[in-house]
Amino acid sequence: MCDIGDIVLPGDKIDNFVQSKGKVLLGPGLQRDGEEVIAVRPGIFKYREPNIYWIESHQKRYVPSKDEDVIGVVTNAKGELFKVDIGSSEQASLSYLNFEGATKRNRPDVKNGDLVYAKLSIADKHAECELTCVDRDGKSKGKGCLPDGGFMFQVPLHLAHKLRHPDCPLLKYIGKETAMEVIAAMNGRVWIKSRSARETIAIANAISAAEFLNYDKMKDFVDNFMNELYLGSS
Amino acid sequence: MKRTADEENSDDDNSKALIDDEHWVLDLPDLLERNSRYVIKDSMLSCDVLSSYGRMSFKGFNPEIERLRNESETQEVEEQYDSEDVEFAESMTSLSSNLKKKFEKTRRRKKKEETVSNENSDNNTNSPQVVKKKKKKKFLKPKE
Repeated sequence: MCDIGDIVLPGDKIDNFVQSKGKVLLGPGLQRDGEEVIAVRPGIFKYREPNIYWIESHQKRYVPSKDEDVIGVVTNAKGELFKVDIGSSEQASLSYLNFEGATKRNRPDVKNGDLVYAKLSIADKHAECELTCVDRDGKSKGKGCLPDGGFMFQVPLHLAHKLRHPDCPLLKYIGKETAMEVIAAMNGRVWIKSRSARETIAIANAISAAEFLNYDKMKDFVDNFMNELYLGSS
Repeated sequence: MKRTADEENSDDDNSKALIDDEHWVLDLPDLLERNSRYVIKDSMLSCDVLSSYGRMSFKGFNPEIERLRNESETQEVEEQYDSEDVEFAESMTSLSSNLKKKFEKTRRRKKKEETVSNENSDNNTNSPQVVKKKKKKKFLKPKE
């Protein structure tokens, strides 16, 4: 027996669903064993309307899943398929045609070591993942090669999820203080670009330090951080 | 590129075992899947409320990204309002008046339009334009 918000351990049986009838959606950390549901990860048992359950755990390893957007490092930009490291157990492949405006003649300008922001079009446990930088209309919508001068670092997956949560005000507060561009990808990689290296480092530190921060404490936290940054520079 | 688009349309339901070039699955009857009330999703995107788009720009650092973000947000708002009954009813009333016009007899409709345009010409200052519109078109001999 465990309630919503409780800490569960692998092997714990979960049987107190809010609705006793209807479909139940089990997210990461929960598995079905016959007609029983058991936890397979240690973490916090979470629930969302109407009938969605999952376990939020501390995790750094990325397991690819379809339609998630990731930041990858191009490791082999030769041939028709680029090899991209997205932080998973295996490298993903990215066709040179899956860029905006790319044709067989017009090859995108991608070199080894470039960063790409892409979406997983095929994710499978047993086969190589495939990436794409365009949506079904052929538009990039912000995906593609990332410009020079940015900074990428790895954070735990739950922090990347937190940054993308609509209620999380951290990036909004930082964005009020300084001009910047940020990507929080689902594979736990965060990419920042701002006006100066000094600011970029400060923002990166602020994001890393906000891992266990509550939403209501974020305003003071960001104020302190930015005060130190600007007082130090003057 | 077309193939991937088709795939996206077709396999919305991940729980089904699909067999195609990329996904090979043993073609056995799914004893466990049958009649189960549990649906397994391995992506956090389908569980927690996360914005499906992770790229953000602040204070005009990258105007293109901010434009994309605003567009997607307004689209979401529009989608919410589109389904509202009031708006649907309003759009239907205008449509019904248009259709009513179509089924009215032509002479009566003409009369009605005349009266309306007369009223308009009384009110508006640009009456000559209205009169001009009403003039019957005649065949014009081409000039040589």
